[in-house]
Amino acid sequence: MDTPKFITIALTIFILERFFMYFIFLPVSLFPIFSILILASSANLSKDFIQTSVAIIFFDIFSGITFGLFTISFFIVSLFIHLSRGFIMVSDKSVIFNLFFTSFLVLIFYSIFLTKISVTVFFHLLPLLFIEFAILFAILQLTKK
Amino acid sequence: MVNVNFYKRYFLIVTLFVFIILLNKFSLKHFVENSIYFFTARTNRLQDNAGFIVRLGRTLLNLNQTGEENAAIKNENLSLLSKLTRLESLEKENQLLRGQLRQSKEAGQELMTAKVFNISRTGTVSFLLIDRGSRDGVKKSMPVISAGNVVAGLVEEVYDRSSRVLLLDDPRVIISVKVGATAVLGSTRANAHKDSNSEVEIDLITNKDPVEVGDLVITSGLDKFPSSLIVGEISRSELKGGNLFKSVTANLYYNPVSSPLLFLIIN
Repeated sequence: MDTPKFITIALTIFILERFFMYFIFLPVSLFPIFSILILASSANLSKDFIQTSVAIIFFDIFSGITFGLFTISFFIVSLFIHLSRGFIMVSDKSVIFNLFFTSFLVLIFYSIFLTKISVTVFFHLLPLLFIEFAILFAILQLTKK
Repeated sequence: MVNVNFYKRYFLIVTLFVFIILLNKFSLKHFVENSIYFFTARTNRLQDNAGFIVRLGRTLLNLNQTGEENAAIKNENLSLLSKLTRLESLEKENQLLRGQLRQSKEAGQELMTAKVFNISRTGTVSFLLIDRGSRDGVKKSMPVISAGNVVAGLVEEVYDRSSRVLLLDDPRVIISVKVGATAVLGSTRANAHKDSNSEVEIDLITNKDPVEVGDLVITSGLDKFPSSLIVGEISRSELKGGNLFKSVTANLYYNPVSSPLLFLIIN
């Protein structure tokens, strides 16, 4: 994804989450899901990794838990995406496969991140997490050129 | 195929980030959070005047069309309106402060006022950022209340000029409470939110405890919170099968959107 487009979407999510959080209910923050979707389908992982990392660090400050854990969870998932590229190329696969693969990545992210908060919360949130993820996935699929 | 370029960048960024975290935590005393939150608090104060600035801008743009005299009157009117709104807001704030300070004096509590500059609430976390920090004497685990002795939450992290307050519906917060006229003891536990309602489960209510919908939930005074602060009211009380404990839910009274003013209980 090109940088201006990425910055625009990241800023929109940030403003939406900061100023409308109490009116629009979100089970989890949108930005990590968006970042994982971007990285998983990225043609240039090295470039996209840098821009998403910088943005993730910023979102980390407002994550509500100890600064660093949010970003470290993201780094682990990024490494997993890179390693999986040897045998899974997301661009070659069907939409359904991509949906399951990326939802698995999102689950890895939140299972690491939510250990600091509560494991039971993670299991309670699973259905909502998947719905939020599926909506974002559908939006990105529909807006893809 | 191994992409060496990615690994180089990856380890560079990870190393840099870990270095920043360690420096931030152990040497710079939360410099990252301090600076970002300080900036956020300032921008939030600017927002208070944003409506007035927009209206003033519109008036200035209309100057050429309506004539200088007309615009000057409008401008003056706008300025007076802004002052009036500000006075009304100050009056409301003053009333809240007077009421709360009177109540606290009677209860022998010493309070510190704080303003909320950021609300963050998802299914997993629920917290506020307030404009008081270690410089003002804020300490970790300090109870936070709103006007009318309503419990808001407790301080989780303290920075230089700001602090993070976990609300009662954050899954990390558990407090001891009393329910109803018979003062049945229980403890709050927030589950993952499934909608925007602020509610908590009340644990340890046995099947023989007379807890009904509409009963008031107050703090017990057995933990960091002083006793008899208002938490909320029971919204659901069910007994499932032969369970020993009831399934009880309470709606929280504190609403972060209602007022940006909070009070920290110092002693």
